[in-house]
Amino acid sequence: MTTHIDATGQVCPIPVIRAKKALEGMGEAGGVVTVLVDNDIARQNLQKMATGLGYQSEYAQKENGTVEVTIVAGEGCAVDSCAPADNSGLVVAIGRDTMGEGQQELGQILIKGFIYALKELVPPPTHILFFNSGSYLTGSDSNSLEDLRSLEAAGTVILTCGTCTNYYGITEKLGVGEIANMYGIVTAMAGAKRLINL
Amino acid sequence: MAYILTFANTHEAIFAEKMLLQAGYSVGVMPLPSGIKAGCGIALRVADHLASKALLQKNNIVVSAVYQATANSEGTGYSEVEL
Amino acid sequence: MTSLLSNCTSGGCGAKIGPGELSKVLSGLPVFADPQLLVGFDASDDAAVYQIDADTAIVSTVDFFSPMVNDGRLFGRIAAANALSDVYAMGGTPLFALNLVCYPESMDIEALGEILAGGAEKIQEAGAVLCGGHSIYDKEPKYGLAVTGRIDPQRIWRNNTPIPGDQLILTKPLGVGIVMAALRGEMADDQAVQAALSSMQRLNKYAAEKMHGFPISACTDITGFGLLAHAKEMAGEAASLVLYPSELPYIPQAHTYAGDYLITAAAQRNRNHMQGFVKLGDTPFALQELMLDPQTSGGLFLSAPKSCAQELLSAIQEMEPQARIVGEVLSPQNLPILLR
Repeated sequence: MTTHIDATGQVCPIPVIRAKKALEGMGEAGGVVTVLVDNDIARQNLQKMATGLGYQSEYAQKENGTVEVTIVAGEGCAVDSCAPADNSGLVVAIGRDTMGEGQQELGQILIKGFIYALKELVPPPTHILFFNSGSYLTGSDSNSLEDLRSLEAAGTVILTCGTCTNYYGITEKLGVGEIANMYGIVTAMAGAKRLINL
Repeated sequence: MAYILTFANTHEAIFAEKMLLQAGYSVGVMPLPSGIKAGCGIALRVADHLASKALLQKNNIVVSAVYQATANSEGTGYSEVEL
Repeated sequence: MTSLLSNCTSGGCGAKIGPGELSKVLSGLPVFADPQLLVGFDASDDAAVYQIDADTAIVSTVDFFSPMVNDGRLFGRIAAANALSDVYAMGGTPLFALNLVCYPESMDIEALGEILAGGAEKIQEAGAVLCGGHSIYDKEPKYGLAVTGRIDPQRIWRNNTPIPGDQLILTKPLGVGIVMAALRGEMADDQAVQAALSSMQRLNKYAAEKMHGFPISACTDITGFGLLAHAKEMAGEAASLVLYPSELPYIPQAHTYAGDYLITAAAQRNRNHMQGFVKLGDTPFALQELMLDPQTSGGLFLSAPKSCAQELLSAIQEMEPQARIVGEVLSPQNLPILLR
């Protein structure tokens, strides 16, 4: 069975993705995939992928500067399709600058430790939301700034409630992430696979 | 911040963090890493362990031990620093 | 909303003319010999430096490209951060910037407003001023800046002066090109994209500020040519660089995507360019691709003495938590780059 793919005009990684999908679709029976591309770099990337996955490949110049790459998936050479990694879907909502009920100084140190530990989660949370006194934790004088910036660099979206920073007069001192309104906060919470509410 | 200070109890840890912050030292809070034993489950990360320890000693806060964090192939290792 | 990417090929630094092709053309130009020109393009340094008097030199650089994201403001920020980066990589301070704009007549003008607003934000964050620019119609949008900065002529961080014995630090994680390629293929995880966008928008200002107290022997920023090409530039004739592929910081999903061949055309061009300068064979494929991956607005790659490298790294990590020591400098070996 042969699948023909015309990938002229398409930019890497599209030709490789299409070819890979076609190869995966062939399963155990194997088959042949031909891909038409318009530049030699795409040809090189296709052959790189084919060789890496253990297939034979060859190419031929066609008219108009196009190149046809032929990849042969022999019988019994199923390609493992790798689903892209699921993100955590975890949203953490921090509504105060302390953790738990009791002495304030204990609560304040606990939440710092909590934020540090959040940073060690793999995969990281998708969102961390700060509101009411929690807004102090994203201010420029917060001792948790380094950890929160690290989380942001790993892809976690950090949102602080604008109404709250306005109330406390600390909007200009935002040190990490962005200001959000209640809609942004509600949307993040509603879209969570799991929600931790401190 | 590559050094970790541990304490015998939480009151010491809370006080220590307050002292160091007031004196303008860079200090971070972290849960006690699983490779280390100490009385209190909260540890402090500091950049300058010698100055930090000296300041705390002046204020009668006892630091149980000081560790150095090093990144290795398995994650982070902690080795005790003799003072 | 206007789709910026509708008439674009691959934007960002993936669109740079390959280093080999470019040097062929540049080598045919006359050599300009002016004693005031402290840094020209003969060493392919990050920016040009021209001396004014004993204490002052001007740094000048220009950078522009077509969009790699659909959001105008994000694109503006990324393009500006990318252009400003070269000034920081020389050890300079940006003073002012001029806009460079190409925009399709048919595209909605508000989207251009967003792009310029994004650029202005980053210029402001850099403490510099926007003082004009030039715009023309073109079938594909492009944006960037010409940036002028100042530098102390005694404290220029050149890109090819590492000292054997020094250690190498990389301040931002690799894999931005791969993640954006996966995004084009609609196979990217939201978080990976966020991490890539966050990295591309971040000014190298903060890492550079931490570096100023230390004796930096060489510094450059990682661009569309990828880490290996810049490492080769840094090695030059007088040194060889050893890199530790397992120590490289990278966006975790990029490693997976690289293993799945979600890679760029630019990386293949970079790979072709590096032939004969480094032996990639023993390094796992995904790490090879990460080292060749074109970065847009990449981090700083610098060398500093072993005696202060750890302290310098800790200082940089306060602003760039994923910075790492990624190698060391040796006296010249049989290849400019060795992988261990």
